[in-house]
Amino acid sequence: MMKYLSAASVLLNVIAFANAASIYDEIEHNEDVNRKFSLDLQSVVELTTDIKFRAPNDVNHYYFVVPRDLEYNQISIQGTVAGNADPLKITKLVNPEARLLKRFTDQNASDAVFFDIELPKGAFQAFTIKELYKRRKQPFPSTIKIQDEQMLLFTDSKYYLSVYPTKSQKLQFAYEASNTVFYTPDTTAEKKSKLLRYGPFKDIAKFSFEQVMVHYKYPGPLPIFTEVKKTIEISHWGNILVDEYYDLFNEAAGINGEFGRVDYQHWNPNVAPYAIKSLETGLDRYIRGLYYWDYIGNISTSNAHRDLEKVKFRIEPRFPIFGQWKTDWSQGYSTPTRYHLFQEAQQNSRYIFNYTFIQDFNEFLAENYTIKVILPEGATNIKFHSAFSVDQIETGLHFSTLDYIGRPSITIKKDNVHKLLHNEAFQVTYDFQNAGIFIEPIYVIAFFFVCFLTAILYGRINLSLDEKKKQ
Amino acid sequence: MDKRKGKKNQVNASQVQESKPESNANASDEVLAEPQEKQNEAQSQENTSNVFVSLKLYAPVFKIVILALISILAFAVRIFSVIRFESVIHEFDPWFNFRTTKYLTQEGLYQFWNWFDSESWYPLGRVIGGTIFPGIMVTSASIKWFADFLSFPVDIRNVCVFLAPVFAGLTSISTYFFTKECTNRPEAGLFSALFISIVPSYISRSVAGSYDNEGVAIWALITTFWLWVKAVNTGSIFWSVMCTLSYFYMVAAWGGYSFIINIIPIFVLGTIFINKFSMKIYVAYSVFYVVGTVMAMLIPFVGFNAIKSSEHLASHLVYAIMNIYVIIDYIRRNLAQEQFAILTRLAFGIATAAFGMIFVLITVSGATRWSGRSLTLLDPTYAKKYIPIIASVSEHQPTSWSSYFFDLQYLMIFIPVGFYYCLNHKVTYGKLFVGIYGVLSTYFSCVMIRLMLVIAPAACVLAAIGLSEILRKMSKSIRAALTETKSLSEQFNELEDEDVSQKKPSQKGQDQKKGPAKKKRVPFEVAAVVMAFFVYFLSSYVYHSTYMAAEAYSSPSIILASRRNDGSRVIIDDFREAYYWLKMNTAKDAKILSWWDYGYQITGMGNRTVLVDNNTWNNTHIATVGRTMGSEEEEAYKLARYLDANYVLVIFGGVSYYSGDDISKFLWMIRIGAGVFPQIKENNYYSNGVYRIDAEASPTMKNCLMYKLCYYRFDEVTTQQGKPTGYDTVRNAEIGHKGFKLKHFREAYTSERWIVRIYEVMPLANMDPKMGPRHTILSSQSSIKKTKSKATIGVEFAAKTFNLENGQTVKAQIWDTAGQERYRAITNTYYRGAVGALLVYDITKSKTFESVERWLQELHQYADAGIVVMLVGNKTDLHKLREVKKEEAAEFAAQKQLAFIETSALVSSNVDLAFDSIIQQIHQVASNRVIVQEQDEQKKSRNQQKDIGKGKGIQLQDNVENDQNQKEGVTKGKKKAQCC
Repeated sequence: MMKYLSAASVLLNVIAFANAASIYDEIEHNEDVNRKFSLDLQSVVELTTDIKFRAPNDVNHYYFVVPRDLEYNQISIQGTVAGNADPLKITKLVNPEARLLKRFTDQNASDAVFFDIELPKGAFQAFTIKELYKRRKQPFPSTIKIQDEQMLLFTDSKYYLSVYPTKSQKLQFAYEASNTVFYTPDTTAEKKSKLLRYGPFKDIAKFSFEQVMVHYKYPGPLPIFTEVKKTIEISHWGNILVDEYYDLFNEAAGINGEFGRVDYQHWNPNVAPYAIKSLETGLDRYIRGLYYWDYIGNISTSNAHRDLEKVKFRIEPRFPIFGQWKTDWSQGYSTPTRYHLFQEAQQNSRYIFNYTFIQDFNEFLAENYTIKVILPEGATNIKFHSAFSVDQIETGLHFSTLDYIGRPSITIKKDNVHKLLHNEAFQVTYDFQNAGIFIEPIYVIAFFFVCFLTAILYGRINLSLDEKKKQ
Repeated sequence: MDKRKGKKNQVNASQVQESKPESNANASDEVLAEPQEKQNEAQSQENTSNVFVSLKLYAPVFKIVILALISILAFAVRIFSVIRFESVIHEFDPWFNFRTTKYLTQEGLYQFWNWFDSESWYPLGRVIGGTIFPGIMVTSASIKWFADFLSFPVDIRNVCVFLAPVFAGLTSISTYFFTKECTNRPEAGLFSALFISIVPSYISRSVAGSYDNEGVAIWALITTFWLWVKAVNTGSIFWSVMCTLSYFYMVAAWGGYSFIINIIPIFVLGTIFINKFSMKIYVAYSVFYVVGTVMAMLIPFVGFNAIKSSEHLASHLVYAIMNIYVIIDYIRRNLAQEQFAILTRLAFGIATAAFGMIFVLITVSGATRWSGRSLTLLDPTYAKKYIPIIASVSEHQPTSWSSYFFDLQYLMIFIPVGFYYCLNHKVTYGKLFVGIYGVLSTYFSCVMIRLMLVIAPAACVLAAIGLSEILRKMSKSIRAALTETKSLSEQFNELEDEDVSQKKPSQKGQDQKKGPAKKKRVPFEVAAVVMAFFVYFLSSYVYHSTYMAAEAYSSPSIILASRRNDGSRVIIDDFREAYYWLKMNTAKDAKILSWWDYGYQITGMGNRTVLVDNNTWNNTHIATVGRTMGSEEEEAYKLARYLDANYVLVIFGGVSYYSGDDISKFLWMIRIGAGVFPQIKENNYYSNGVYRIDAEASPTMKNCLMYKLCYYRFDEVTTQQGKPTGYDTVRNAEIGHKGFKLKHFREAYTSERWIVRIYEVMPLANMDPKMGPRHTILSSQSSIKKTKSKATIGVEFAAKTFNLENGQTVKAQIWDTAGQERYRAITNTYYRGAVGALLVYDITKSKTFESVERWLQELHQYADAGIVVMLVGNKTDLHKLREVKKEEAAEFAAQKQLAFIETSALVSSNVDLAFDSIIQQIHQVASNRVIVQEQDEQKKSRNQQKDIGKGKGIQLQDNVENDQNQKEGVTKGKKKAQCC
């Protein structure tokens, strides 16, 4: 295998030599790297890496690597250069050229994922990478008794995993450090109330990896939405129907042994705080007809009330969601069009629908996220706009009450939606003739008209052959 | 909403009262509130008469409007449950019907017909298509399909929830036609329509959400009767066929169709006996019998039962008798009367006796069979004696007197009056039929509470007939008093003629036309009092029925409601809580053991497989479950495992006053269990003949599974102030067995108010803690902590402290890496710094052994040079399946200089030894290295984890940059064993 690979790489080398030969050898080493993990966010872990590197010339590519076993966990990567608002262009190298691998690693580099960061001209050889990870805080022990305290374990590499050698590197963990049970000891380690700090480490060889571990008490749950589906149905009669489906999972520690109803008291907030008892959110004040149900009906434990600013909505699942348990439900409401549907200034028949991208319970990560916008029958030229890229856009037809042609719908899919990244509005624009809203009433009128006509005709026509009955 | 409904009732009530003027207009009797007022305004007799005359013109419109209002009332009075709770399916059987309907709408008719349901009656399963009456499902699905076709999509759940109220509205209309057909009096028809629209016993079966066969069957029943009477009255083949079609729908909808197939032959026989037989009946019955029997056979569940079973026997016999009678009649007509009158009766008697003999013979010899339920009808004590399952259902209990008044209220008073008019007063076919129907249903309703439903239409029709006849008399006198200012005595004598003359055009001779001239009219005052009483009676009936609908019959019974002291309502939603928990948090193929009552709900709401359910077709299976519940824990555990159950679900009301719980039903479980398993003795569960759960309870009771599962840890809670802990609020007693532990069952979930308790049947590993290959190595040591990570990471981690021979303590971190190919890239990272590895292969799979070499190469490639490797052959317990010879492996190990051992994770042989020996080896190698390494480390000023070992022994962890010593490979081979 390796033979073929090297043969291929030689080939590639020859082909690509002319234009790409210069991109590798410029960066000598990382001068100073500062990595900071924020562990106190729910659902996700944020890693901020400040990188200063040294290169003799002006370079425009930096190769950033992430261990392949974290590829699944990584939900986003963003880069910025100080003083420049535009994000850096970061490309994941799905099939890195063999010579690239060969250049940076002595061993088989398939255990690393490469990112190609394009640096703007004249950068100061310094930039910042922000990554979000999911499902990395693991309850340890993984099962506990109901009354026990939950502890989480977080592991990563002590050193900055890089294709370049690093001169100096620091590492920080931001969390409630007073709850620490254990952390990998090190002479440089320093623990403060909200922070655990390592380093600086000097002269780290490329691809250095050494495990570092933080084990700390964490009382709360680790909710994550494995699936969220949002369906929006627009009616030009003035109503927008919003329905959201949630599939909720708690990543927290599972129950060790039995679930004791005696041990778990619903009303006592101090018992099993790692179980999800309820979720709260505020909905727009002007919504109407809120519902929340699941497969077998209304979730009678939940409630909502309208105050001056918001509709405070508290969903309380039928049962507490302990660690490794899950549940699902649907909720929805109607909202007036005037807040979300606008006509384009120049063109009367073109409409802009504007709505929040993220789900209503936006505190937690949504792993698989789908938005379906159903437009009125007869809408054409449908376009979707958002500030960020989405994974998949599909169009289709939807049939509901009195639809004979079908309502055009647009379905947007995106993995790993989180409010740090996607708490923004999206727009759907489309053409729609205003007269189109009368089609459905016409159907109804026509139907009744035909009914009555039939009845009248039936009453007037005598089909009997019997002469007497005719009289 | 309630208020609105109240208004509706009032409106209807007044409309009903109005009904009298209009309907009486036909019979030219006028009365009642509104006309009276108008009359007062008019102040003149002529005007009054004009009003009556003009009202008469509007009679048909009135009739339709009133009937429409009655149907709307019938619908509205049944949706209390939706308003009070929600649009949800109720109780037990409706959940099954709902589930099958959903399946039908999703999969289509053919799939439905062939549906083998593996979610119920595990492991037997159930052929749904052949064991149900599909009428209600097909009806709902058709409605949905039709609505979808019109592009008016509806939720199938809402179709199911509102089906019964809609059919109740239709029933009112059918009842109107039925009564009108029988009596030829529209006012009686309207009364009966009103009565049936709100008769409580029918409401109880047809409230919104009560999605059961009876909901549509009563409509089909009455429609069949109406069309039957119509067919008999007209002698038309068309109406006979219509009647048969309706009968076919009834057969498809409900097992109660056997009521029709018996009552119609009885009616035919009756007409023969009282010499009222006519060719019209001959036509009607011939069509009905032939076509009806053939059509009934189209329903798979009925099939050849339509010919073979005893329920249908009467129809065959009567068909034969009828034909013989007609033949004889034909012969008689062609012969001298005197001779053949005798001959006919003789032959007829002989034939009847012969058929009777055949009937008895067939029944006794068992050529045809009565079903258990039918036998219970014929012999009310039968079920109690022989079929405890039927007897255990509360709705199969004999009816008590109070429930007659509860369900029929004042109708009870008028039923005898109705009987009088039906059977003794100008008998027509229709009235005779109603009379027979009334008599039979009265009998059946006495036998089973459930059949109160059958008497309800009869009661409504009979009461309506009785009432309308009385009212006719009273209203006649009142109308006379209003139209004439003459004295009462004058009215008595003079107004008769006018009355008769008025009547003549509108009446068709059914009424007492000839009589009234000679009869004396009721005095006005008496009539007024009687009228007032009827007004009171009607409003009282309406009030009572509405009250019953709202309070007694609208609880969905899966959602309970109670009131707090301050009057606010609390929803108790424990059933759905627990069922949803089952759906979300148990394995998809989990099998639930519970008493059969909850089977339909668990499959319907929890989507899980059940062992037994409400379709009680397999007595042995149910008895086994009953026996499990009644056995001691050890025995019950064996049974539960034998039944392959994963969870046991019990209903317990001791905390929240829910009286219909499993402890209350427990005796039936015992009885049913004892019916099949003689080792169960009902008496063992009594103490001195009393069934109790307190300290006096019998030891068998205290130790049986049901008792333990219900009362597990119940003694730790206080349920009522001033009572000791563990006080059962349903049975008002403190439990007698406290502080026990469960050995083989584990509380998996208990709902908030303890109503549903779910227990996990522990895997066998619980009996032998060192079981389960995957667990072995990690969990055979109790002190090991194990963390499970996502498969994508492909690594599991555990820390474990070992004691070495020299007394030192070593804390080892064990990384359990995945053996599967796709994890190779990841696992490479974990090799770094590993000091020891166990390469595990499966002795029953030579492939795993073959790949050992590859793993070994990889280890040497990525791991430290000094790594200690041990080859482990696992699963020696399966030596019969051995594929890798021990010698072969030993030779390979020697060649590669590996330590070698064979273990069995299952029986835990050699596992500890494997671990200990590798730790020893690693320790030797590592302690040599540490000295060298520590020097290095000092240079690097890296000080690592001194706090872990506290210097007691050498930290295997403190060498190598990786700071854990990874003993990997443990799972490597293991996973491989799984994947290859």
